[in-house]
Amino acid sequence: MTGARFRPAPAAPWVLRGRRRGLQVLLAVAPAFAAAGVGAAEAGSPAEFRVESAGERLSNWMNRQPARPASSGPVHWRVPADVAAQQTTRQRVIDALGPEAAALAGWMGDLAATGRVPLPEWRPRPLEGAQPYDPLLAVGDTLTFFPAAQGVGVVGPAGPCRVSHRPGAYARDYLASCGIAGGEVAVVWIVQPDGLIERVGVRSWNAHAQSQPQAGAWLWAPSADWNGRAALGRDAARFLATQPPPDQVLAMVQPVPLSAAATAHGIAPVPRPFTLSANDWGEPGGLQTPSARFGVAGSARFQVSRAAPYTRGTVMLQPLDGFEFGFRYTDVGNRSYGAISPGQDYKDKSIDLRVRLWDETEWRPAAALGMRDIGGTGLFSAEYLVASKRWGDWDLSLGMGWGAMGTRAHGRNPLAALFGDRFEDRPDPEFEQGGTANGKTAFRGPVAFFGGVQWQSPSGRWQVKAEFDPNDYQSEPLDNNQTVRTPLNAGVVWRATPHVDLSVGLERGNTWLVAMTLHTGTQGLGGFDAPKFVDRTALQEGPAAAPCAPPCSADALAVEVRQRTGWHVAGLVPEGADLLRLVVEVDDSVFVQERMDALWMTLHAGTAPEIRYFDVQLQERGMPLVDVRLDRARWVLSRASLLPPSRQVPAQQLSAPRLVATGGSRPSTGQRMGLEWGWQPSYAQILGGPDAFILYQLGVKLSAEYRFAPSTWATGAVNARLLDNFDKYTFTGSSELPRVRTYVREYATTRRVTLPVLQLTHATALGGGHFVSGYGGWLEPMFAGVGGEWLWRPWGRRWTVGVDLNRVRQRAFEQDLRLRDYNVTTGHLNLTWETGWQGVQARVHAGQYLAGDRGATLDVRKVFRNGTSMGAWATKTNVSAEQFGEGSFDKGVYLQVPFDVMLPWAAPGMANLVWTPLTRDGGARLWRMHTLESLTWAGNRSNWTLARPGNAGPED
Amino acid sequence: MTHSDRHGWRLRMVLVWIAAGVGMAGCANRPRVAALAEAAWRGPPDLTAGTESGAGLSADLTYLRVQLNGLPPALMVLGYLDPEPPSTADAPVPPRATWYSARQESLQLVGGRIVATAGLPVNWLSVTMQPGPPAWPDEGGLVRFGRTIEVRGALTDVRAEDVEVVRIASDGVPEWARPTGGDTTRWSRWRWYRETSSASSGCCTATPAGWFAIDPARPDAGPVYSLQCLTAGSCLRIESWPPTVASTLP
Repeated sequence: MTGARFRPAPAAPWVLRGRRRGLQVLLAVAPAFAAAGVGAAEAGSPAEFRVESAGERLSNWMNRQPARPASSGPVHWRVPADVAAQQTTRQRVIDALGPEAAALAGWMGDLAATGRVPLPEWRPRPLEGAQPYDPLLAVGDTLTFFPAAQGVGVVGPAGPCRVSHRPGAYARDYLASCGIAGGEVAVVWIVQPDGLIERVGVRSWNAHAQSQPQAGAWLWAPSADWNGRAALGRDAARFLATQPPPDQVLAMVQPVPLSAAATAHGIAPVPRPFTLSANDWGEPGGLQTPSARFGVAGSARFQVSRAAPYTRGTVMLQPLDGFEFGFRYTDVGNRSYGAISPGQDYKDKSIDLRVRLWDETEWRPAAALGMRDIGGTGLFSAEYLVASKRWGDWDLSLGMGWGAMGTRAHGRNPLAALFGDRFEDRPDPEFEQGGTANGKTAFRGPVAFFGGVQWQSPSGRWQVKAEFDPNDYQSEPLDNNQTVRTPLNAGVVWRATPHVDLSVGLERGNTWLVAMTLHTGTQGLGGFDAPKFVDRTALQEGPAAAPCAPPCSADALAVEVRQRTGWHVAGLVPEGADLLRLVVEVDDSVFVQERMDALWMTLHAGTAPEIRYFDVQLQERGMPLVDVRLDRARWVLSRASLLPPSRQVPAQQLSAPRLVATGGSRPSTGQRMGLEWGWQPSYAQILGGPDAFILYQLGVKLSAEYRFAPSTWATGAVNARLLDNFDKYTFTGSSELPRVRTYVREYATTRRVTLPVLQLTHATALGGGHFVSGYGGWLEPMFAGVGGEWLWRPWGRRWTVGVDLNRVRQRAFEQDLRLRDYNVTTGHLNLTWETGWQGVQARVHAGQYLAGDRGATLDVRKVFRNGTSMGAWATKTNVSAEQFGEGSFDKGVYLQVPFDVMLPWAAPGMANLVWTPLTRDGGARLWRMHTLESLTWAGNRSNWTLARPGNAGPED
Repeated sequence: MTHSDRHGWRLRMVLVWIAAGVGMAGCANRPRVAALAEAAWRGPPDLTAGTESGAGLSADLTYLRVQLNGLPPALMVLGYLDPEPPSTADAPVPPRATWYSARQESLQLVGGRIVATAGLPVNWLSVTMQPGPPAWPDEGGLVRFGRTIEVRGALTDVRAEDVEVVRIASDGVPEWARPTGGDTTRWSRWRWYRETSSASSGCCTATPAGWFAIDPARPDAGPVYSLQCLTAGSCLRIESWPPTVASTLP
């Protein structure tokens, strides 16, 4: 379990990088306003002030209040208009508590909805320098100054309790002081005095790094029996955040001292998480055995391990909470690849899958089901059921395995009793056709039991592991049984860096294990973003300096927009006195909203103050994608002050695009026409083939694009292969289908300088979310021809429908302008659906493939908030498994990472890392360069929610 | 930046450079590529370079050069000097100085000691000193005081600690604690103090040692330089700037 925090406030600037231009800007924001309210301050009791005039900043108000108490206690800003929403929240909590907690519900019901809006900062001087946190006060608002807090309020299953605050104490210490028994409460919401809320685990099985409550904090400690009642977590904490400090609310409750246990022995050990580490197979676990643990969604791992005679390279990806998959290459060091490549060790490819069955609770261990080597030849296939229970720095796992994890055969397969005797025996995996998911062998044969224990050092950097191995190594594939001295394995893991683990161990009593694991740590790929230190477009730079004396000329504005957003201003039309219309050509940036914010900043800085609205149409290659309107005053207000929920009005509105002519000024510097070119290193590799484990080529690719018109352009590229080991590349696989992809060796090795693509494309929008394109030329390295596409992307919907149809001919191996004889008509009906569940998207492509086979492709991916996605696809066509050859059907996994999160500048585009076990001819689609799906990226409403981790919204 | 910092920086930059190559298509002139190459070799630029003599600085403002860990140094400007409530300690309590950066960060110092920060990755929300900020000890002397700090980073901690301040000979000041930029020998002319903290009652993590330097030419005016850590991984070098001006930290 990990903690989560949320706060209803804008993100703070995070890096100290100022220059001496600061003070004049910072201090020029507080105009003189009318005098505000009056009040009286008494020592030890709160002082309340009513605001009598509107528009004054809180910092200014505080700085000029002689009657304001100088105490360091919390300051509450209360807005009457927010009371109603808080009453609704309170009622949800009361309803969720139900009759079995009537007393607590009654206590909650007696608490007044105050209208308090949490202030992330209330120290007047710092507040003065941090405008986004400095609210503009309104008439009727009240400000309450509380004396320095002394206690912490605990609201447990039996009711409230007040404990004296003590530095260094954690939530569990306050719970113990209130007499809340261990096990009664497992999760606590800490509500700090400034309204910051954090969910923490307080038991030895769910402890993790967590905050200490500050004096004046509230702890919402619901009964463990109430888990699943969502309102009892976040809603209750949110409502408590509106309450005065516990010293005031519980003034009649005698404060209890911190528990004797905590004070007698100092504070108990600091809560810390149990650090996950991988076993030899790249799964979380011991050495050979797995555990039921999972990382956060977005976790990724790459591991190389060696325990003779096996060397394994594994990639594991966890797209969802409790679901992980991956692939692996295994090198069998004492066996030959065979007659095809006698000099090379035997290689095996495999795919793994793990899924959590349930999570850990006080008395129930976490459980997971896993399958190893489900997609390859099944040489190392195994299935397991495993349970894990944690006690602080100890984690114990027990499980039952089948296949390679059942060879010690401790007992009869329990599934045989349920499903019949066919589960008694496990067919020899070598008889399986690779790629059939081992359907005839999974969970069959005898079972063996395994167990493992892990202990982590207090620093979390070392782990010691010991386990009982369920594999007796007497049924190893390829007639390769191993001598085993003991079934006990033991090892140590050292976390060299937050993302690198080094492991060493002794297995079978006679074999050393060494392993290195690169992993995403506790954050996951979805939380990654490289610092942008080589970029002016990064929004962390704050408001744009005026590019010229406003109002800027259209040309000057276009230049500034280009520099700060990477976008091109294709048209600019003033309309009346208060509206400016723009047509902006976007690039393929992933973070559309971030670029939009940069655009607003630039327009705000460079246009006359009389302009109240900006209407911007975003286009891609002349195709209108979305219309965006900004209310300038609202936008300024939201950027420059803290707004209570009741006063938050969206400043930006998105709508379906109108088909309008650009018109108006066409800035000479904003046009994106003519020639653009660039170069990039090119790299390609083939893993696990019979000629060598890795065949690679490194070169340089020169790319160019010429725009004849906004919607008509030519694209070309020349690739020069400079460095490779293709002299070893001699094997061409056989095929019973038209050889549309299996000539990959010929295409890769025939020429050093090739023309991968040269095509002419025209795309246009028809309105109503309909887009069409036509293209022709040398479309990809292996095929040339003509084609067209239609896409329907209704604005605001979570689905698209489209069709592509292509008549193509195979290209010559030289990848020049010549063609071969094979030609085919290929095309698909394309459907995409954003499920709305955990960011999962599904795509279906149904139609005729390059080899003339017909069928469908299912592609499922998880998209994280930072635009990174993990996915897998499978294609089944009317080609039989025998005709298809090894692998039975086309499949693969991929990882897409925006360049924007990898590079130190805000870069457009996406890195696409694809792994396919085999290249075969069945189920092969045309690699089209400009799909309408990608060209209309900014027209997808859900893509506007993608954001850098630091800009992500509240999470729980 | 230490040698190991620089080494680590370059290693990271090599990785970034590799990634950058993949994303360079599409435009011929990429000034960012050159900037990246320069950054990879030289490290992040020092934005305060050239201001050591006061060039480019306003005579009407008072500056502080602040560097957070290995990040480029920044200049902050003095905004306010507010009187502090009197303490029960013998020493008079200096005013609270509030410094601002152009990026909405702020720093509050009392007698050169950090008492509050805002806008940084890790912040001190409040500091309470008991009985109050102490005077700087004489040679061979020792000063003790108690301190409670509310620290807000990714997590919140509340520390209670006992602090000891001792005077250190300038040749006993480790290299990493000395100032960077400007005249590299100025540290040897200063009077140095080390402030070490230990957690009260074994309660919590103590603040790492802080280093303070006073200009003997103005011994009563407070430190001109300090290295203070908010947490073990978040340390600030703070120096009255430019160093050639005989100014001090209020």
